[in-house]
Amino acid sequence: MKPDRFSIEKRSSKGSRKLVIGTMLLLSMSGCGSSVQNIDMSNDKTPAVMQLDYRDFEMAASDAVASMLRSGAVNKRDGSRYVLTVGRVINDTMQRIDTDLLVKKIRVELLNSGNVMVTTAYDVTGNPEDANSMKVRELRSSSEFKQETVQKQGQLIAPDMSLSGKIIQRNIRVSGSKQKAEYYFQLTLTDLKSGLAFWEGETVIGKIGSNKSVAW
Amino acid sequence: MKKRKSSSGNSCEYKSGFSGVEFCNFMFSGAFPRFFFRAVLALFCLHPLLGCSSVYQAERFEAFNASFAQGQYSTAAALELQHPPSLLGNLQAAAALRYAAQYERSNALFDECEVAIKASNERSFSSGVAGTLGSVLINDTVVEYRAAEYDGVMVNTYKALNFWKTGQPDLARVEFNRAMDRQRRARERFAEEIQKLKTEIAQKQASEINNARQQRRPSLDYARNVSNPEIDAIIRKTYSGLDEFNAYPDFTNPFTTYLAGLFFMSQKEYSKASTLLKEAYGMTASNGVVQSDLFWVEQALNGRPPGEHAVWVIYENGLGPVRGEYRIDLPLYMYSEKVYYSGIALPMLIFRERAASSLSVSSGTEGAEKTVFMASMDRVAQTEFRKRYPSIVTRSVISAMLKTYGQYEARQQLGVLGGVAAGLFQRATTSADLRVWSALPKEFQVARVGVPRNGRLLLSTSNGITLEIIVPSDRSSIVYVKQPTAAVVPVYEIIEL
Repeated sequence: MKPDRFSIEKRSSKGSRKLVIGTMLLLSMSGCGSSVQNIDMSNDKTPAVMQLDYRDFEMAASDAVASMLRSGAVNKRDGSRYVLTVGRVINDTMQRIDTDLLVKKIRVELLNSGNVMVTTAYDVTGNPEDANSMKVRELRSSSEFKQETVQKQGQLIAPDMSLSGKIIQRNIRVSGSKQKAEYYFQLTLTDLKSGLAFWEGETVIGKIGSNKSVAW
Repeated sequence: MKKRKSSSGNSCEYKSGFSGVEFCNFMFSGAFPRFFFRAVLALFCLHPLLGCSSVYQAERFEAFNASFAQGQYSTAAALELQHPPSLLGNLQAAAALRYAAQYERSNALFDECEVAIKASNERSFSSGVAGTLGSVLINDTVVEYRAAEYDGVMVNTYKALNFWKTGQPDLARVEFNRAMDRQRRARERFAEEIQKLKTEIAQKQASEINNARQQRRPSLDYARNVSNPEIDAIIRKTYSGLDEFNAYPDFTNPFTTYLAGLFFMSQKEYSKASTLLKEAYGMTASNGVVQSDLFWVEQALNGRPPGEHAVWVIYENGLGPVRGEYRIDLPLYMYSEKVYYSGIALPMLIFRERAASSLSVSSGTEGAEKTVFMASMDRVAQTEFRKRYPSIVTRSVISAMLKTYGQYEARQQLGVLGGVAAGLFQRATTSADLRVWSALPKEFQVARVGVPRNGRLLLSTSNGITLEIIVPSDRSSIVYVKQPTAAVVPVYEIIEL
């Protein structure tokens, strides 16, 4: 049966209301859908990028520590631990990255290995990671502090190893539409007593991607 | 009219909303004549806008150039920053802020420029037929400002200098690496661009043949016109300065390469410094400073780093090129052997003056040294301009063909009035793209002297301006001097090495 004009209008009015409500629901749902999502950092499947991301630093750090441990360079004969200081790690790439992204991961893994400890009281630049080790010793002259709780002289441990390195980037054209970015993570572990390198390692990470523009 | 966001400094896009890509789609769809009539009818609305926007653009450009040339760098930057953000506006402002010693703001803007250049490159790479030929129905001024390759290189060079000056060598290193990579990319990209233009012309010709067949008319012969040797001869006769300089190796700026070499030398990375200085020396063969820097680095590589400190004086001299326009009548072959003469507007580089022939540098420990020529920004700009010129001419020729054809059709279908209106449209829209990053210098000069014992260094321009500068006496340093015009007192910065 053909509906009359009124029923059509009525139906369309009802339909419009439903449409509006439906749209609002959809919009609110789509709002939820486009909200921020946590990434499972242990199983990140998001696409790789031409720049360095945390996965690359993790891989380079794991490679370096595994190689160091395999080489025996950080196994002290008497079973005690080496004390490490971190020297300069140069960022020679085309990206503004903090090399601590690499160094911290190496430090954590080395500490976890049980073979190495890291000093935070000394730094080659004169700005130790934790200035408190030196600063608390200034309390020796303060009458406000119980002097038996103030750190005594000759307690700080000097480093016997130094970690230094460089991250190098090299871009190469593969074709008109593709380019390759190679990242070289070069690290050296130096025995501070002899000045000799106990261990050296290089991890290369290569990426191929669009050549539309620069790789940074 | 549609509003389109743009990263360029082109006011046309904001005013008229024309998109080269949209016009190109019209042209290739076979609906071009229909569209052209509409365009003709709309002419009277558009004409004032087109005229106003180019006047507005010129006024803005001149206002910046006037302030900049007088050494009023903060004012010049403010003039650009009062407009909506755009690539060219940011380039101009960022350079001016650098000379106003506002390094952080300068680098923030240069960062924005890099993002805009990257986005523009990606769009250009992804675009189809409309990519290179997209502006043919109006002119090149209606598409976004496309940074020259040397613009990108200088963005990274100036950012590196800003970081170096503010004691952030780790960040300066990243920028020098980027600058070097840009120069490598530019060499490769150029060969691809030529191929892309050829492909686009071939596609356009095929599309035109197809459309002409459907519309039962003879087809326009683009290929014949863009490769017509007569056109090349007319251009060379009118614009004799096109081949004025010996070109630098493609898109390489010897100054950037040299400065990067100096930077890595200061970081005691002699191997990298040696490679860069060798490359710079190859492009600046008669420059004694570059030669002795290279010798210094080679000594260091052989285990004998020179012990003494030095002061390098780098002199940014004068103002880099701007663009002017010239108009010529070209012979165009439309349907038959009959030749139509149509006017086109082409850009030309206009070179500006040096501020002084050189700087005299006196450190007190030895006689005065003079800065010597090291690299020409004019020549860098000319090298790229020359390489891109065939593409500019090709677009202008195709544009003239389409407009001439449109004029003919308008006369056929709308009578004399239609023809006159189409003629006015052609006249109004025939203009060259005069946009250029005008804050760059004309040339770079360099001198190297011993460190003065008392730290006092005297700099004198050849026209009598003298500056007394205090440099660190216990280390090497760079004194970076900028002078746009002869009457302006140079500004300088000291970079401690």
